[in-house]
Amino acid sequence: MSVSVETVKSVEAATGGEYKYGFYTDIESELAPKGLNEDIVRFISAKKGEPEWLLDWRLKAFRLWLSSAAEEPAWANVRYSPIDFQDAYYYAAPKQAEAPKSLEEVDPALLETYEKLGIPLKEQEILAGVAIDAVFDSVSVATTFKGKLAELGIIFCPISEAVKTHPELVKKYLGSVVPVADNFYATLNSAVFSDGSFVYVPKGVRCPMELSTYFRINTAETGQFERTLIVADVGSHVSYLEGCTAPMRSEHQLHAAVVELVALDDAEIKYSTVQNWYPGDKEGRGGIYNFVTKRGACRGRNSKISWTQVETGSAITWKYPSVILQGDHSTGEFYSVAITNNYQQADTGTKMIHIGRNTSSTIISKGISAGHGQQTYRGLVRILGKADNARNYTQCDSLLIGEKCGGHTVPYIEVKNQTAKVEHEATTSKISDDQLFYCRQRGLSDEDAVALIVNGFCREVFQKLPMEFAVEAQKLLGISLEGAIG
Amino acid sequence: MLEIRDLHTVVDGKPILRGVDLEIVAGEVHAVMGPNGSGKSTLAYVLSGREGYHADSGEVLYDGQMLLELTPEERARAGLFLAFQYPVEIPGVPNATFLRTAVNAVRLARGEEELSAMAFLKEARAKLKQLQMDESFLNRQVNVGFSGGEKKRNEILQMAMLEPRLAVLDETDSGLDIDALKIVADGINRLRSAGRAMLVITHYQRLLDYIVPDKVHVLAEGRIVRSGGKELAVELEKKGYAEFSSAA
Amino acid sequence: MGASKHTSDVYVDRFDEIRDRLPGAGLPWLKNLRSGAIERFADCGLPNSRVEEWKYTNLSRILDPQPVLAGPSINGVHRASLKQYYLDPTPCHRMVFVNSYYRPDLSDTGVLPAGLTLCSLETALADRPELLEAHWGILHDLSEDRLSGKNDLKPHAMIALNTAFAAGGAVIHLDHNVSLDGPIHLIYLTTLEGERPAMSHPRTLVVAEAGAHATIFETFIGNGGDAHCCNALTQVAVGPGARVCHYKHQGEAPNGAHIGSSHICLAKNSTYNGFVLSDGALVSRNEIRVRLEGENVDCSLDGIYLARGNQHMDNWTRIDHMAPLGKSREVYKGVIDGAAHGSFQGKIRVWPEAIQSDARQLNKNLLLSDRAEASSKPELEILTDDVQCAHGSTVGDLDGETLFYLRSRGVGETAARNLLIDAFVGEVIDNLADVPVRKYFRNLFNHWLSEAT
Repeated sequence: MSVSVETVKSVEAATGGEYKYGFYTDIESELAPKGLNEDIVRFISAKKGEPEWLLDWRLKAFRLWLSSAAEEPAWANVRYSPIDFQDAYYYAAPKQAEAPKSLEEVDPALLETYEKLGIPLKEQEILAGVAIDAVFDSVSVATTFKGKLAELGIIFCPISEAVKTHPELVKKYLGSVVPVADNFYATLNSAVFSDGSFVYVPKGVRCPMELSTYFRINTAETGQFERTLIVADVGSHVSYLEGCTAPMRSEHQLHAAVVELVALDDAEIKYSTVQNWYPGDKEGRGGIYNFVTKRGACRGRNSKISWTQVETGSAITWKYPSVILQGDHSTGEFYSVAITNNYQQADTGTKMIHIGRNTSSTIISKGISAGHGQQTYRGLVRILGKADNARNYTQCDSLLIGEKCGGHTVPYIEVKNQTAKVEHEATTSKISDDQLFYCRQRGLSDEDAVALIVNGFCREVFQKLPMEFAVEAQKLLGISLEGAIG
Repeated sequence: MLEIRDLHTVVDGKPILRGVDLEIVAGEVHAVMGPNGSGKSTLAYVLSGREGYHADSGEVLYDGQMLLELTPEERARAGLFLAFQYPVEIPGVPNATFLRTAVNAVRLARGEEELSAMAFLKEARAKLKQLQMDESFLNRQVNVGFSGGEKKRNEILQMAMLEPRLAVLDETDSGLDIDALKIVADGINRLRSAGRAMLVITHYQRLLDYIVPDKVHVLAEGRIVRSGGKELAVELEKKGYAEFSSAA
Repeated sequence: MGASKHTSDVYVDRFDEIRDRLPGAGLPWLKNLRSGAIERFADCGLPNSRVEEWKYTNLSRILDPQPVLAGPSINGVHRASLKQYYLDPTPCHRMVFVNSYYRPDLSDTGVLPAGLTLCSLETALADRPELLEAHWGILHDLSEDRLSGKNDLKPHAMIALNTAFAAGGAVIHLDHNVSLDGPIHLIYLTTLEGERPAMSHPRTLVVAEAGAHATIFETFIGNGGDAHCCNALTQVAVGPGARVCHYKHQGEAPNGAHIGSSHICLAKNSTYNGFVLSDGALVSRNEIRVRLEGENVDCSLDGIYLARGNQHMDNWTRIDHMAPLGKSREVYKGVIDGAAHGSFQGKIRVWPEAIQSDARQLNKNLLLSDRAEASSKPELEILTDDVQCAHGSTVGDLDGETLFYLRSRGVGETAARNLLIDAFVGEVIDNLADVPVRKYFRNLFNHWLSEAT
């Protein structure tokens, strides 16, 4: 697993070192009127044909969002001009006469889009062993391998569909990990969420393939508010991947997603993200505001939730994939690589809340800042009074490239139990001149040397990614650091 | 192959090299000896292009090219190899990845085909065997957690893989016990050939018992103050550097 | 919000009553400074846990809603009751302050060497007002500048309060190259004002000009079991090439409150060694801000907090690397027993100009009881790349295996525990440079340990 010179070169050749997913698909879209009010919330709900209870849930969230109880967070180390929430579309969907029943019915322009993104959706070309839900703006356009998964009792479908086909599951778990009132953006999402994936893995089932959702923002001036809910029943196991891209646009677009994971007794959920939303141009124009709430609940004994994220895109990232360790002997993990180049800003990290006994958590965070990039690791490790023998180990390393960037580390450690063992370590430094010279003396160019050293720096995290993603992540890393040197 | 003419270098405001002249032809092994602080390592760094070690005057011709105008990687790709006195650790990067990236960068520059993963592995294994190194070396992170001897052997492994035209060995014997020294010297001797030149930098004569030089130079206070055959090294071992330190 | 507004009104009223009686009331600059400060305090109110810098300290738990300001009364404090706090060997210069007011009758200032000014705030305001003007003004516009671009005055409300009310304290000035033989010891005692618990606002200024060298030791204590509140502010300016060792013992009475801020400015090539030990007060907060303003500064900042019962100890530090080649080392260790809460918030910021900074920060906490609580927030803000910075934090119990090992060799459980606690804290105390100070803290810690249940 490595980036060799030819990999870096071929990636450069293929992309010209630019954001390669920046194209726009010219497809007729149906848009809700611009702006945000109760009618828009009703419009979205009606479009999805939702039951009354869900509309009520949305409206409750919307009213809360309007009230002063929901406050736009100001504590993060990110700077941006105020967002005009009325100046965006909250619903955009490719126009289709009817929802496609099979892939044959999907608009070829959409299939082609995903083809270009490297995500073939036609079954015969599909990546072996990966089932994909493709979300285009506000709707899911295709889900592969549904039949095969259904044989095992695994539900993998757009959440809008799950609301109709499995209302009892959705009702039981939606908002149970990230409550409506959790934070400003989660409340907004609860009101206007569009689509996203729903996964349920029944008792004792090991999901035989990777489940994956690929998110694409296409239409201008739209926000994307997907909602993902994954429930792993007793003794089950699932690995889920998430990817995302958007066209290059000079204005900012808002992405405010909510992801909820629930792991019951002995269940395991592995959630991997390669986040590559459009980061804006070299001067910081455009790019996605990525304000995301991701949280997992280890409800059951011996359950495990593992987050792995590679964050290379977005103009601003604000996300803290977290684990609530309720079940005794449960385990939470967070592995992260985040890159901020040019004018990107990221305030990201995790929360590990230890409630049950003998719970353990591991946090490995690798931040790379270049150009004018500003990056903050923000993390909370909280050990509650009853969490006997809780363990946490945290390692946060920041690598800085260039004198204009910044790397910040803000861990919060709160321990109320004597038997806990909590350890946090962090370092910040630049790539050493010795390492660079050593590589160059062996014939590597500056950029190849940096890519090599940075890949080594991130290795612990990349090793946690599923194979296909690991290769993708390494390539992305090279591209993201383009122009960082010299 | 290498021609150094009146080379002057100031490091951190202090003149270190004060007019070095040296010529090495292909196939020869030259030793540069001298007391601590005489400028031996500085010479190695100037030749390889390390930042902060620039020639203030003088010139260096390498195969007729102006060496000092090239970037470090251009020098490496042109066949100049520096075995570091203190090899650098690169956490997270497997030795195999590092070596293959370097070998292919150099091969591409020479207009040769890149080595496939298989071909690379085959060659690397063969060299490892010669240097009595375990195959696990390839999977370990570059120099991380290596003992002093392992680091030096790793340098020689890289040299064997990169097949340089001019190898500069900076205090390669430092920190080695006698067994490790023999293995490293064997590795170096195996690489001696008609087309390849070597510049062995050392404080002690010990290494030269194993790598017998064609010529020996004494560097003291920034100048080559004496040159001779291999017997000069033996003489230095007996008398020490005292007479040269007061010379300037 | 309503409640804290109400509280700040009380202070504004008190200020109006006494403003004309404060020392130096006739100095225009000081008048402006004080009225500006009380206005800022009124705007901000008392800091609460929603202010990030005060996240772990709830002042409403301790502050009297109708605070009584301490005046210059005699209060029956005797030398005998202070003896236990004296340094051994006795320093050249000791000043004692009761409720922030200087008490020559309790002090031994000794013979002052040429080039040393050592006097009370009142005297300094009369004799050298320009010295105070130059340094007090520095804190005037203090606000917390956040990386998000926002500025916040709220964290500095208690400093504003001190600026408004400070009526006593010590002023120390060392001329160029003046070097003192022994430490200057400042003892601040806060006690009752009549029958009521008092609030005092001592203010200390230390200025070491180029090449000077001094050791300053501040002891904060209370009388018996009094509830009282000491809101202290100490400013230290270390000139080029100067060196200051600055020690502090926060040993207030068991029901007291201590809110202490130290502001330290370091010029080029200077050295600062700071150390704070807290074992007193019910609620305490020690805030230390160090600015490495000149090049090539060497700074260490260490702390020990020993908390038991219902004590709450908040340690808050910030080190700003503002110029190249600065070096800072910070080690804070907490031993937390009973139902006590110990917290550490420490920020290191390396400014864009401060290339080749080298900063290290470590916080370690020992939890000795199942009701004890530790919070730790070590923080790095690094705004340039050519740096070496690291921090670490740990929370845990004594190591079970080591305890067992000691006990298997016949050491009793209490002795074994004390041995390990001693090893944990002792390494910081035993490394202090000044012998009398080291002895002082050693005795203090031994005493604390022997009181363990």
